Amino acid sequence: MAAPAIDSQLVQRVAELARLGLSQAELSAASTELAGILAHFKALQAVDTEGVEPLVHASDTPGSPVDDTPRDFPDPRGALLSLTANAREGFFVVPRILDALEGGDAPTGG
Amino acid sequence: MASAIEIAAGVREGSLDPVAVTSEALERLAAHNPDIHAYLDADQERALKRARDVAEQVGRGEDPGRLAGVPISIKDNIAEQGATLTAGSRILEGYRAPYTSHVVERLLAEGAVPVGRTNLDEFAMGASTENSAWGPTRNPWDTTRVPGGSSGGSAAAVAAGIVPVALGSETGGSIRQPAALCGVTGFKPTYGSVSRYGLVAFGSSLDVIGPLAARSTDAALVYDVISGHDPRDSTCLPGSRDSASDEPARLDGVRVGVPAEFMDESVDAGVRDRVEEAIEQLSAAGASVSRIAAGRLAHMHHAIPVYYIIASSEACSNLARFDGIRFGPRETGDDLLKTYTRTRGELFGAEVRRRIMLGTFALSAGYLDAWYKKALAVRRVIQDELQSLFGEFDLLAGPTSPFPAFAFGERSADPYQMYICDLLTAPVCLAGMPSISVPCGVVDSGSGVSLPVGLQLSGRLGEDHRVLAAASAFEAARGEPERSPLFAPMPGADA
Repeated sequence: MAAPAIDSQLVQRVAELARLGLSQAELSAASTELAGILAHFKALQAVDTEGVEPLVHASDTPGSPVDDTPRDFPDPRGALLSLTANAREGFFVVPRILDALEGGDAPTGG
Repeated sequence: MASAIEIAAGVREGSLDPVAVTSEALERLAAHNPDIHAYLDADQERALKRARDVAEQVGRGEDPGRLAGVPISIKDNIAEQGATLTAGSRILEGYRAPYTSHVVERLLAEGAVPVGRTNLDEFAMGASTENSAWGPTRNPWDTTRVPGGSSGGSAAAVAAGIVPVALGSETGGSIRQPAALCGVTGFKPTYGSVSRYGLVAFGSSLDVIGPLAARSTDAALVYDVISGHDPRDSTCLPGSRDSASDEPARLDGVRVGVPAEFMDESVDAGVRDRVEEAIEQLSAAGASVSRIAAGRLAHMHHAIPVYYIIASSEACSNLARFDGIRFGPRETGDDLLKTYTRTRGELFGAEVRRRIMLGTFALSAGYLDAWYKKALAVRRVIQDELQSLFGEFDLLAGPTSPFPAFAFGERSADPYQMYICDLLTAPVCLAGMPSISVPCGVVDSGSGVSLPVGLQLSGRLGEDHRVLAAASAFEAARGEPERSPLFAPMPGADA
């Protein structure tokens, strides 16, 4: 398979998926860079991997899961909320995600 | 000079004051950091308090542990409760870790004294430390050159003689390559032999924490302390590890293979010369050295694309958590989505954004099979080729880096030129094997400055102790390595 055409539409879509806010100039630069990197990488496409099992981890048996039981974390609310400047009254503050209800009442609950 | 082993012995027997040792390290840090910028932060009071605690333990007749009073610097992507954890990124500016990583817990349990948070490429993505949001680290051998990366701060700190040991992390070469470029030992353990609990995740199927040290025997001691099972990392291998410190340092009868692919024209002639001399020294010390004809590692040159596609794919997933909501600074937008995109677009640096784009592309509908899954399949092929060699050889030898330390800006204009720094280190990362870089001489920079070269020795999965023992034997056979102009004996020095 040939290297894909990296056009501005594709790069814009990738940036949206990645939640990266890039300016038009940055999108244009990203397009050139991604195309350049993939051009160096395209020899990979020619490797015959028919029947080869993908290797996701260096070890095929990477460790073991633990029981899903709660463990103590002293003052989790205080410790975790102290990591942001955007906390108030014991909660993270985020921009509004629902439109204000008719009549100007703020959504409650949730 | 005093090694970590010597400092711990002196502190345990009461002949060395851990507060004096820590003070000396802090003085050196203060003296050298303006020139080399190896550290992003150093909480003096915290370090001295810790040293006093160790001294009090000794005073009470208790044994502080195998690293009693040893000053150790920690890469700023490994959590230590209350300390900075910027990962070299503006997106974690001001963040302080709410808990301590497994490795630092282990160091503290053995009496170590954490001294300073070392600089790194942002989120450990880079090979020169030029990608740190807080400015690059400079190489103690020549401050116009990079120290390598991403653990460049840890390598420079050890090379400048500030601490005998530091922790780094590696995904594609980030411990061994800066160790080579700074003339110190750097050890990447077997994937899963050291817990990743408390490491800022980059490429989770590749990330490993390991030591950088002025001596391989010290690297072995620190490996012994930080390795072992930890249920908090589900990829951490069960069972116990063989002790590297107890393994006799020997090369006698060890079968060493030198793959032709490690020594081809992509490697600088000066680097090849030093490594050839090192291979002769391995042989003189009793190793059975064989040349491996070209072709046995026929897919090794695909390691760069395979590594960058897999690591970037994992990174774009791991870095999704940095959205400006729960930690770090925030760039507020009109709505939640714009807050995410503005925060991430403005606070991630250029290389991190580039890798998030590459990873997101490789995982996106229409490209997943051709790029991500293809890379996983070729990863298997590369592992099979390496495994096949380890059926015949105990160790594979070659250079760590294709070239010595390069000048600032020399490779940063074209991302691919930086990526090929990992040419010789990435293959064993993909396959998970343990691998070490040990100093093996110097080359002239062309302007009269000496630059160090690293010999790389890689071993079988789980044979970390053998790799470390071979490195210690090589070091003993070769004698004291050349040191950077900033390096000076640590306190407690015999000579």
